[in-house]
Amino acid sequence: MVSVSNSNNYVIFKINDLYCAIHCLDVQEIIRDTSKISSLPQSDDHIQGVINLRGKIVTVINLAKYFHLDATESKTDSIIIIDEEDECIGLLVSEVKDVLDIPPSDIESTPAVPHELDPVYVKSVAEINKELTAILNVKEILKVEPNDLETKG
Amino acid sequence: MDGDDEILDLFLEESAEHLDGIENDLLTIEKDGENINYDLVNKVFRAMHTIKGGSSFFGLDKIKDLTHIAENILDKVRNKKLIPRPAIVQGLLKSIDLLNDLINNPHEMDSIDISGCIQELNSCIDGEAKTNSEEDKVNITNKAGKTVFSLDAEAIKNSENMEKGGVNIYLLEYDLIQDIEHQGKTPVDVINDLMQLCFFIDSKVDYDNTPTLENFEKSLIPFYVLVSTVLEKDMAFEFLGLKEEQILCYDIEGKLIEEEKEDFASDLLDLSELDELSKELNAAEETIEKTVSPVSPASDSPAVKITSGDEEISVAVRDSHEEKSRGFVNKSNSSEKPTTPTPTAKLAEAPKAKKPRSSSENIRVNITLLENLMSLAGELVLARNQLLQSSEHENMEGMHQAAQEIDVVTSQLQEAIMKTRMQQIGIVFSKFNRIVRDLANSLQKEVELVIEGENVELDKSIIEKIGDPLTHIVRNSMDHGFEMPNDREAAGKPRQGTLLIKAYHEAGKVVIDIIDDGAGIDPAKVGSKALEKGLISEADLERMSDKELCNLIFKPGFSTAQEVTEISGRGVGMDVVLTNLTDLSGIIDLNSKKGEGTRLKISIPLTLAIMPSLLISIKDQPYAVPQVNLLQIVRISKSDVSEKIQHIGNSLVTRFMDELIPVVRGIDFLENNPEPVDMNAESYGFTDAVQILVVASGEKRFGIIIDLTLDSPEIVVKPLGKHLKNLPIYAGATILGDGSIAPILDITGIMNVLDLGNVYFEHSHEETESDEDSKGDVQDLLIVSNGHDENFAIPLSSIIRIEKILPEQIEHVGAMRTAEFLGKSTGLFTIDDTADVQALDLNQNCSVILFEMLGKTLGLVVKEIIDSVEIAVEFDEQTYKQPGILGAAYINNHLTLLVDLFGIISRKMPQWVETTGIHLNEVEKASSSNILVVEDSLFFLNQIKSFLDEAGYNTVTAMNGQEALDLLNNPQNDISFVLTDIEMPVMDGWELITEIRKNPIIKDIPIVAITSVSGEQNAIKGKELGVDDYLLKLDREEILQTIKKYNTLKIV
Repeated sequence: MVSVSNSNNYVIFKINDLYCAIHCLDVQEIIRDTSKISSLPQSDDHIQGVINLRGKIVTVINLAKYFHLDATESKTDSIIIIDEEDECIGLLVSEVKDVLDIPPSDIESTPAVPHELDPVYVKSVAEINKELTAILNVKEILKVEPNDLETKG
Repeated sequence: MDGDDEILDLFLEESAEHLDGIENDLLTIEKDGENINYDLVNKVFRAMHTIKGGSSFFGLDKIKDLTHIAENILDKVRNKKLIPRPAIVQGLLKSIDLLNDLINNPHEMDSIDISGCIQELNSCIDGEAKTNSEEDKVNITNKAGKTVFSLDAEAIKNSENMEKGGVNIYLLEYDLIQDIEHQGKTPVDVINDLMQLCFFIDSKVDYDNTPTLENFEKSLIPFYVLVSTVLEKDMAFEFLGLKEEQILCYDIEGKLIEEEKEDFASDLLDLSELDELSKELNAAEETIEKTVSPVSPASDSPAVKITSGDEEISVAVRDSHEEKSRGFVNKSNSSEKPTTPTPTAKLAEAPKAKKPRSSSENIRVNITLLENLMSLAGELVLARNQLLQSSEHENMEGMHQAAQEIDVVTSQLQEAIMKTRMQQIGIVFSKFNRIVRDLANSLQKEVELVIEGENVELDKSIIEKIGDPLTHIVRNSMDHGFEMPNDREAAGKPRQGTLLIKAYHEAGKVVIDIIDDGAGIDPAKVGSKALEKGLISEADLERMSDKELCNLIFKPGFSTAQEVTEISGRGVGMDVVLTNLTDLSGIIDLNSKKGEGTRLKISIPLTLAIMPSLLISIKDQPYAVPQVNLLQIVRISKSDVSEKIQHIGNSLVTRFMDELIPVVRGIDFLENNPEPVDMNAESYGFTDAVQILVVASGEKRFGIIIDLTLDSPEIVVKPLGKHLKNLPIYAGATILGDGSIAPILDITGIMNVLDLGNVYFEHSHEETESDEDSKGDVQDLLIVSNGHDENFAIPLSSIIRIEKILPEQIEHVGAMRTAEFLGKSTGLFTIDDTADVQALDLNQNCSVILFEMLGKTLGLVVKEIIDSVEIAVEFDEQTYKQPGILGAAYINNHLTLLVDLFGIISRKMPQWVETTGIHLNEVEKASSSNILVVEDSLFFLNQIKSFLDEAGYNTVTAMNGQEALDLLNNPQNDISFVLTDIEMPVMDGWELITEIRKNPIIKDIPIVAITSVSGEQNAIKGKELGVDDYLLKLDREEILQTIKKYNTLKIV
């Protein structure tokens, strides 16, 4: 197995027309089949449902809905499985474009965050193939808001 | 984990096992008081002794000191020098607590203070015997004149009288490497071996004599053991397997018995040499450890515990390589720090902070079970091979076979593995002995703990989690439940209260009852407190039943800091207990009677990981419902919907058993703003038959309308991710056979979300009461069947007894069937003799209902007894009336025909009825006047009227007392006899009777009261008011006989 510890590889994907990236180390796998998502009534709006990932039940978050983007017509063809410490979580995205090497020099330190996204969720920004790409802060996205737990109970 | 960590762990684990049962033993010893149970004391003594032996080897001084003094006390107890008074046992218990602490936290030993306990224990001895002082010390020296042990003179003297002890005191010198490690033993083994033959006094490893690397081969680590035995020295060599020079002999005073000395000096190491070499050794140490570590790969498996039958064997897993490596490590460590040579010191400084040990890390598995698992695994492999092979050759038949095989093996494997996880609940229960004792002492209450069903088994994960809530309940009961002994006496109860903890199986679940005979819960108090805390409104308080009030103690916020006592209530209350139990899918039921006690019934599933479920679908989505919560599935055809489902305000309700339960649709909890049910629409807008899942959470029941039931699989419960934990309606999810996911519905959660419990119960109570009113008198009925799905009811009051009957017992004489009961030939009938119902097959084993009629004992043969109910129902006599059947009613949702015993007999045996002469002859008919029948139930009224008419009487009827009185006051009616019901609207029977007896004109008319339930009370009251007789409504024969009697009297 090739060591990726120092790699600059990023998974590049789109949410609607927005280019985003997640560091390869955060990604466990990518699932192209989105037909098997079981919806879970009463769950939060941005929760698309759950899937059976080799016997584990994995929550799938619809990123477009999560970022309060227009999700009505957006296509969703891939689930990026993020390996968090204690569980796997799926991120439903419009399409996965590529896995690219983004050298640190290309990453802007004072990012001009795309206005659609809450800056909290964006780590930094890079320009890839002339597209402004937001490198997402996965930890922040997967955080469970404490008031989430209280609102329904 | 390196070598001596492993061996230390082994010792700690063994010690923990020894300590395990001691607490309860000590409590028994305390209870026995002066009647000392020597076996028990010896058992505790031996446990202490063994721990002491090991700890002194490891240099665990704190453990050694504690066990030493505890041992001393126990020794005095068994020698009758000390009576195990509570104070002493208290001290011993404390020492056990400390020992447990020490053993479970070997890395924090330094921070555990034992001096207080030692002092306490010493003062225990003080009272009866003198303390150990320095003057009493005896030094045991080895051949080189070095003091090996410094012991109490008394300890040595006493050893003579110990089990296996004797006058010969030997100092045995083992070499840790040659004699122990190389033999594949541990020092503890050696001590255990010795204890077979001798009384063990003390042991010690002489680290000062640790060899250096260079003279390693020929050097030794002396391990001294001091024993007392009856064996003479030459015998001792043989038995103990030692060379002569390894044994030194002492007299009972501890003096060395001189012999021809051999020169040991050459073998002993020069300490100065050791110092010199220590630097060199430090450098070499790393190399050694590197060489050592690869040889001990298996060192993480310290012990395998196997239970074989009743005997438990401990097997240490090791190999000789490992043994050697341990030796190496030991040496390098101890020589590295010659000033602090004990392993304890090293452990305390160990950089890796080890978690506290916990005894649940290991699991005991029955060896036959393990073997069974192995063979199942083998079968599974075979089946897999078959499957692979078949799939390669596309052999469908073979694959099918393999699939079947795998199906069977998997379920067996599952069952077997579940069994390995099963543990006895006694593990949890045993600690309550101590808790109850301690609490009783500190609260000055007298409570006896009774434990039943310790060997009921539960899944390990449940056993681990059930302890806390149970402890809380026990503490609560001790603190709030039981009264002070004097108060108990004043209340007429025994001074000593009883706390019963009982586990048993019931309906596939384990039930734990916690029953106390304490003060019980005062519902009024609970209610007012809940009101004060704002948990309920005043209106709630008004309508809530006592039981509901008591259950308020489970509400969060009920228990508050205000009532914190040392024992229970630490700001957390019973709500935490409830939450904990709900997490275990447990159900708790509280029953309390003020002044009499409290009973908590907890039912929990055997296991959590896999559970039986019902798979249903709502809006094309599958959901699993745990069968634990499931009571029944009811299907209501579309035409019945509006009749079977009623609505109260905006909620649907239906009748289940005798209760109105709320009914919800799936979308009511699955959607945020579901469209409300159209209460005015036909069938509430349901377009098809309705399937209702009747579910229960605790005492509360409700119905869920579902679309389809799919399957009832055993499901594996998988947790939902953290983003979904906020959904109370799910208890997790499961993966179905096709790989899709079905959420598991959490019935309790759904009930809470919909707030069902509180809204609906109010209505259901009202409804039930008003229903009862309209339904007339309560009847005791026996429900029987003929083996088909027709149910029959027989009034219990007419039955003498019920017998079983075999086909060969029935004799056929012409058209008659008879059998012998209690030496009497008894005529037998069946319901299908006269009624048009499905026939009873008399060639099976049946039941006979014996009753008395027409002066004979007769039997009605039925297939089986289903139930006996006390129920208020109105029988419909129109639709179902036929010979032998009086009418029909729905009892427990089942159409039930009321059997007319008299009807059957009179139809089958008309001659019997004629000869008894309860029918009027012509003369009687002519002279007879009218009989007034007062009865509010139309069914009974018609019944009575019809058999009176049949017998030739003229009748007038009234539906209540007032009507009856009006009829009586009209002389034209010519009423000569009154037959009246008691329970009636407007004016009841009692009032009617009183009125009749007050009125001078009609006061002499005979009155017979009729009722559906016999009761001594009513009969007495009836007699007082002037009733001439008191009869049962459906006892036609008796009624006719009685009327005839009064009529005849009149004629005469």
